[in-house]
Order: sequence, then C-alpha cells, then structure tokens
Amino acid sequence: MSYALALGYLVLMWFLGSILSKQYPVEHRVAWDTRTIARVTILAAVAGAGAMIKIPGPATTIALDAAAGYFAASFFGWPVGATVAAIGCFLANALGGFASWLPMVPIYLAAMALTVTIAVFVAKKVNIVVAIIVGTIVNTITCLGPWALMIGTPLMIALLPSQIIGSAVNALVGLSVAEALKAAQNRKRPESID
Amino acid sequence: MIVEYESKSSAVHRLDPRVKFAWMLAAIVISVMWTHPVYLIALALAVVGFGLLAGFPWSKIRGVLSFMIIVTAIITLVQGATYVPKTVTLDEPARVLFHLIPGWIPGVGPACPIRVGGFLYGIGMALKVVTVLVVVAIFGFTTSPSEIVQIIARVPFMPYQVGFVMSTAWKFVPVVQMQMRTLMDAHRSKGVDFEQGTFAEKIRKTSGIVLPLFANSLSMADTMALAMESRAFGSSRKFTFIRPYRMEPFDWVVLIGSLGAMVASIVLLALFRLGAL
Amino acid sequence: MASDIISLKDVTFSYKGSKRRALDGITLNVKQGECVAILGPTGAGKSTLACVMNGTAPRFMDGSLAGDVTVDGMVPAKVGTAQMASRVGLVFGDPDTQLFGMTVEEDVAFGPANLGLGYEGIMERVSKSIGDMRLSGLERRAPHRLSGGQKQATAIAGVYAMLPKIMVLDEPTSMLDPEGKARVFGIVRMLKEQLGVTVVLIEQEVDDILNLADRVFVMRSGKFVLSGTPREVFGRVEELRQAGVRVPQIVEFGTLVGATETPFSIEEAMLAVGSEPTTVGDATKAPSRAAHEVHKVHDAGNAQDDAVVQALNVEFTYPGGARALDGVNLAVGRGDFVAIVGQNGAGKTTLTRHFNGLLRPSSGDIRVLGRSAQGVPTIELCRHVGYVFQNPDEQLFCTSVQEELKFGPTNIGADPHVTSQRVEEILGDIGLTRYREVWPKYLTKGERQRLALASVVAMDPDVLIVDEPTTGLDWVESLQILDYLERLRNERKKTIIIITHDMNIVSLYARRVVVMAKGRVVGDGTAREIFSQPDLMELACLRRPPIADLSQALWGEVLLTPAEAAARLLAAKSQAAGVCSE
Repeated sequence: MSYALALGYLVLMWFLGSILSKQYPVEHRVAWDTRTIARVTILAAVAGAGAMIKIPGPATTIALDAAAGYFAASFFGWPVGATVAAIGCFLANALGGFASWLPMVPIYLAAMALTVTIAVFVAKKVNIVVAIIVGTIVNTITCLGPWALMIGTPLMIALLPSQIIGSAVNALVGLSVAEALKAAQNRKRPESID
Repeated sequence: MIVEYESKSSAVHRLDPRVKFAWMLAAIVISVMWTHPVYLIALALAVVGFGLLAGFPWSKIRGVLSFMIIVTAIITLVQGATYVPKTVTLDEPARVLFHLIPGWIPGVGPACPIRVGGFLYGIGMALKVVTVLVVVAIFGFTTSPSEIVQIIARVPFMPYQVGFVMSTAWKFVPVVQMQMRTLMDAHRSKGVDFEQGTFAEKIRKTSGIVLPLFANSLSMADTMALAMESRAFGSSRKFTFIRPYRMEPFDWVVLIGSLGAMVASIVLLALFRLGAL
Repeated sequence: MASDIISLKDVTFSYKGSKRRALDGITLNVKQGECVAILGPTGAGKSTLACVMNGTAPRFMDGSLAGDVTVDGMVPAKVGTAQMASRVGLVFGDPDTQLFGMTVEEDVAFGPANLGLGYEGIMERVSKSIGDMRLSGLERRAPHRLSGGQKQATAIAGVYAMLPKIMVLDEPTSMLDPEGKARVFGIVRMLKEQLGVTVVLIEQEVDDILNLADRVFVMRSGKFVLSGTPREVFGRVEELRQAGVRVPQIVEFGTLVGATETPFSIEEAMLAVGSEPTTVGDATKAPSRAAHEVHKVHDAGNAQDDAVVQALNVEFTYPGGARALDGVNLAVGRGDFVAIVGQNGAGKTTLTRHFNGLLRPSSGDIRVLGRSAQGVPTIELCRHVGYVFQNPDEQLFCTSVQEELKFGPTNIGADPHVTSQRVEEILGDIGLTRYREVWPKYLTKGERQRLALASVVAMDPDVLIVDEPTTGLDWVESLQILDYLERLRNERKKTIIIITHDMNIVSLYARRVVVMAKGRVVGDGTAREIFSQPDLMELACLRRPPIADLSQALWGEVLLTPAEAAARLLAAKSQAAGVCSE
C-alpha cells in the first residue's frame, strides 16, 4: 500500500512541477549542456561531502548536505537545483551510511527536488526568510511522511526536531551563500578598473 | 548504520547488481507485508543465510543490533499493552499474557496487562525492522559504488548523463572533502574557533567555509567542463559503461527466486491471509 | 604547406565581454610529428591558443574568433566535438578536475565511451593506453589515491585513448613535484619519439624544453615575440627577459662571459670557457671542496631560548598508522630564511603544520618563542606563527580583497584602527590597492597567491611559513612573491620558512636549507653546502640547478648563480693574465 502512495506522490510532484515550469518559463529553459552537467556533478559531490560536516546543535548534529541543492536552485534555477538536491542528497545518505536510502530512492529524490523548487519559488516572490520556513516545512513533510507510513508515527515524532532544525539550517546556508556569491559576482572586475 | 562495501568474491558479491537489488527489494516488501512472527522469523533466517553466503561481517553491526534489540523490546511491550490487532490466527487476541507490574508487588500490581495480540504484533514489528536493516546492510556490503551507479544508469529510459553524474560526483567527494579540511585549517590559522560559540555562531563560522567551497566548485566545474568537451562528451547518443554484466545461472536463480517469492507472498496474503497475524 | 598538421593564420580571439584581445594576430604552422613548445608569462594567451587548436574556443569558451584555423585538414569551429576530440587531445595542469572515473580504468575509458565505441573497442583502447603510459597495475585504483604524477599520467592516458594525432599539453607539470614532472616529461618524449604524436607543449620549465622541443615560441600579450629552434630562441637573453620568461642558467652564464656561441649544456659551456669537458657525470658525483667545510649550523638537539620555532625529537604518526615524522630536531632562529626541501611524503608539510598547532606531535615537543606549544590552541599560536597554504583558493574566504586582509586581524582581536592602517600598507606592498573592492576570484592566480600571503602577514606574526609559494606561477610572479618575503625578513625582521621544490628559488633566496627524507632531517646548511653533497641530494631525490653542476665541473666548487660563476671565471682569467704579464 505504501508503494501505491509513493507512486501517487510522484505523480503529484510531476504535476506540480509542470505547473511551476509554466509559471517560470524562462528559468525552466535550462540548457543541459556540458557546463550545466559539470556543475550538477560538482555540486552533488559537495552535497555528498557536506554530509561529513557535522555541526553540533540542539537535539542533534546537523549535516550540510541539502545546502548544495538550495544553493544550486537559487543560483542556477530550479531544474538544476532539483537535480542537485536529488542526486546530492542521495549521495550524502549513501556516504553517511543512512541505511534506508535504497528502497526509498524515488520518494527521496522527488521529495528533495520538490522542496528545493518550492523554496526558490518563494524566495523569488517573497523573501529569503519565508523561503527558509516554507522549505523547512515542505522538506519535513515530504521526507518524514513516507517514514511515518511505513514504520509508524511515533518514530516520525522522534525524528521531527532534528529534521526541522536540519532542514532550516541547510536552507539558510544554501540560500544565503547563493545571495552572497551573486553579490560578489556583481563586483567590478579588475579589467574595468584598469 | 550501513556496513561499507568490501571487495570479496563470494557468490553473492558476484551477482549482477540488479539481481542483488531485486533480492533486497523482495525481502523488504515481504517483511513489510507479513505480520506473523513465525513467518517473519523464517524470512529473517533466509536473509541471514544469504548474509552467511556473502561472508558478512556480523560483528560490525553488533552495536546497531543491540541498540535495535532494546528499541524492539520497547516496541513490543508498548504494542502489547496498547494494541489489539485484528487477527486471523489467534483465537483470543485480547488474552492477557502477563502483567508488566506483576501481581506480587503490593498495592500496585497486577497492572499494565500485556496482551497476546499486541505482543505478537510487536514482535513482528521488531523482526521487520531488524530484517530490513540486515538486508540493506548486506546489500551495501556486497555492492560496490560503481555497481550502484550501474543499477541506476541501466534503468530504462534513464539518460546516460545521470550515470555519469553519479559516478563522477562519487569520485569528487574525496576531492571536496580535502578542500573542506584545508579550508577549516586555514580558518583556524586565522583565529577562527569552531568549538566555541552559540549554535548561531557556529553556523556562521561554518558558512565561512561554505562560501569559498561553493565558489571553488564553480571554477572546478568550468575546468571540468572543458575537459569533458575535449573528450567529446555528449557527442554520441550511445555511451557504453564498461563492465557489462552477463547473467549467470545463479543470477537467474536468485532473481526468479526473489521476485517469485515476492509475488507469491503478495498473492497468498491477499487470498489466504498467509503471513498475517 | 602539405605536411602542416596545424595551421593558424592571423588568428585573433577575444572573450565575450572583454575588449582585450586574448590572441592578437597569431600565425603558426606545425608539421606532423613535431614537438612545439610555447612559453610566456601568465596572461599571454597560451591557454587560449590551446583552446583554439582543439576547437573549444570559440565553441565552448564564448568569444569571437577571426582568422584561419586549420587542424588536420578541418576547421575546428565548424566541426563537431567528436571529430575534434579524436584529432586533438587537450591536457591541462589541474590533476583533479580532468579525471572523471571512479577508477583509472573507467577514466581512461571515458573518451572512447563518448565516441560511441562498443565495449570491446573501448577496452582495447583502454589497455593500450594504460600500457603505453605505464600505468599497468593501477587500473582499479581510485583517483584520489594516486600521486600527482600518476594522476597526470592518467589524464594523458585518457586523452590518448582517443588516438589523437595531436596532443596539446597546457602546463601539465605546474602542480607536480620533481618526480611527477620527470614522469610527465618522459611521457612527452615518448609521445613524440615512439608514438609519433604531434605535441604542442605549453610550459614554464625552460630547462626541460631545451632538449625536448623542435621549435619554441614565446608569447606575450597575445602575440608571438620570439620563435625558432630552442637554440635560436634561448640565445636571445634580453628579449626573453623582457617577455618575462626565465633564461636557462647555462645560457645566462654564456652571455655573461661573452661566449661566442651560446652554450646550452654543461659540456658546451665548458668548451666555451676553454676547458676540456671532463666526463660531466663523474664531476657531478664527486664531493666538492665545500663538502669538507660542512658542519651543522645549529645545535638543534636542545631547547634554545632564542629560537623562534623549534621541534624537539618530534615524532608523528597519522591516525591511519602512517609514520610521518621520525625524530625531528630543528631550531629556526629569528630573521632566518629557511627553505625546507625534499620529496613529497618526506614530512615537510607535516612538520610545518606542527608549528602553528594544526598537528600535535605524538611524542616530543614543539616550542614557539621559547615556550612549549603543548596545550596552546592554533587560534592562539596563529598570532605568532602564520601559515600560508599552497592553494590560495583554499584560504581566501571573503568577497573583497580588503575584507580578506581584515579577516585575520579581526579574528585575533587586533585594534581596528591599527588594522586599517596595516591593511592600507599591505595593499600598497602587494600592489593591489586599486583592487581593494574586487572579488578575489577575479584576480589572477599570482595576485591571489600574493593576497593569501598578505592576509596572513596582516596578523603580524613573527614567523611566516609558506607552503610552495611558487606553484603554478610564472617566473616574474615567483620573484615578486619571494622578493616580498625577503623584504618582510629584512625590513620587518620576520622569520621566513618556505617549503619548495624549486631549486632556483632556493639558490637565490634561502639562507638556510633543511633537507628532509622519510620523516627525518637529513641535511641542514647553506644552499652551497647542501648542493655540494651529491649523496644527500640523491637520498632526498633532489636535483641541483645546472649552474651548480657546471661550476662543480669547472672548479670543483658549487656556485649558485650564473653571475657568481661568471665573476669566478673572470677573476680566474684576470689572475691568469696577471701571472702571465709578470
């Protein structure tokens, strides 16, 4: 039964994705050329490596794996971001030894992709802080939801605080670094000064 | 939680990775569906048998297993106390097995009855969790990263670039990790203390590493893209991954066995409630 | 010309968004099987030229190309990537970003796989390429477990597996240690001599080019300023200097002594000064006079109060079990300029990281400014011991040059007013004042390296440890950084410790050379003393500069610069003349 739900979930996300792409036709026209693929690859590797940075915090240690996905979405548009989020988080979990990644593959990929997409959408329309909140909520629901169905609600409640804090921090770091880099890129080049 | 891949040449290691995946999938599906402890024990034994065949280092998951046993004991008792399932095999699911607080304690006992139905259900749940854990661990132990990439790359209609991205990203993780370590050392050498500070401060300090890391990633990506172009990436629709897998007899046996068992158990459960408590 | 495999006529190229011409009227004809070397300072346009040859400029690099470009009978800009990739291979200096596979085998297979060859075809090419590049046995190794030289060899193998007729190598040895460099140059020789590939080699290592290239071109600001055979080009000393290219030492010597025919090898130099060229091999192996005068400069076995940093019987083992330091004793005095040399893996970086607390000894003691560093965290030690890492991109964190310089001092709690003043001063010293608001990423590598160094200087430490200050820089940039270090030593009384593989730099700047091998200090003295001990050099896998070999052969004495050798010769001549006239 849970796999039927997973399927329905995927369909829902595909549906939402097509709506979103109609909303933002310019951004969704990403050219999947070599450069873009190279960027996705490296950022996915950063996500994987980010799983190793652990910041101790309230209730749990946080890994900076999803940050790369948020960054990519803000910097390069949501399709690239969604791909980085999906592949990067998959890699991060694989490397971090999170045992349940295998059977959850399609669910997890879609979850991260959707989260990142929505977050960036919100960031553009409203502002960063709201985007972080929204991103966190979506991330939590989509990533923990399937767990709840499979194993049971008590486990989900146990994981809730760390998931929320983790999502929020990743969103914060990813989005703010993207803004900082965009600002840096706008600085004058040496050529124009000379 | 997962045991790292080790290159061995057991019968299981040599299986086509897709077959290993199918086996794992089947085991997980069956363990999710069945609720009867006896059936689940049988499944667990089958999985353990597979693990023995693969030369699985049982000592490595001892820590996790003991933790899980404690958790499962708790689940069992909680379920026993609170849940009376709809059952097909038991006559009196609500029959009290024992009391948590036994009768001989004056004043309070007997209290907190543990009922059969819930208790067995709890044991079933516990077995499910342990089985899934072990199955996934065995999979991780017997399947190398490049095999995992192969599984994903060979999904029908999957563009080959996905396989490329996964395998290349895997390759770059140590490179990025090295950069991260040096960035942290460089920060320390300029007086940044990562141990001290509130949570918020720690996040800010870590962002100090994230920014250059991402900036460097973009430059690395550009150089990499140049190298990819220079090796004709994207020029042909066809991209052959090296090391193709040929299905040996044993592969077929495991594949058909696993998928068959999965299908059979679904059918038998639906029709005859086989495997249900 | 019929046998020209590369033909460029009046080629100009500008990057998108830039008015400057990266290539400004380049005309170049390369025959099949030739080995052509291209020299020049950073920014000359060498890499752009490489990209034009394999078609990635303008196709991939976004810019406008004018002029005629024909490579193997095709126009790169008009032909697809597959076509060009199987004719022209491009290898560049960064070992990490050119490797894609999870194993060596997979990486070498990448090119052929892109060409759509079937499994058999791919594997055939892979085995041939791996065999030719002498990587057999490493097929299943993961790239991050390879040495720098092995990584570059793999990159070259991966490109070679596409069986190109032309290989363009863009500064392939810039990130490698001497062993790696030798390996790559060996491969280039093999490509040229045995495999019949046309090679275009862009390099900074002038000494190796002499014997490898058929023709040499010197580039500056997008134009060729010199061209000809190696002998023709390297003989034009003044023009080379103006173009920012290092002049080979033997050539410089020849010019200084007024040799009629420019010498290029030690034998020729000896002939030029009228000496019989003794078997150079013997001469370089015999210990020279200076060897007898070697003595340990410092007594490093006991704690010294005046030492700025000191290692006392330091042993260090990495968590994985690798024993990196095996009883190291070293004391560095104030105002010293020390160069630590030795092979990769000898323990140089491991040792220096102890001085600012990044690593802690397994046994033994580290003393900084007379007190033990035990228990003192890096964030404290960094006030006194500044550490500059090899890759500037791994130690620049801020979004403007000015911020970067302020970062260190602000963290260690320096007075803001004082800091601002220092920052202004330093900006002037490193010549980046007008770039103060620029994002460091937009600077050239040389500028970033200077900035990284300056950002540590801003904290005003007593000691500056610089790991490989000149990797990836051209000669002029290298001299700039080292001049800055010497100024700091001389004017501000800083102690300088550098780790380097470049023996030319060592000869020119180091007052003391510490040789390490296998986790121990095996030699400690002036450059002259160290170069006079061939056994020591061999033990540490070091190669001394050609002028040292020459002076040894001529006078049995090690001299460090062409100027010194020329002076010695003139002194000897005038002495002889004086004797004769009596």
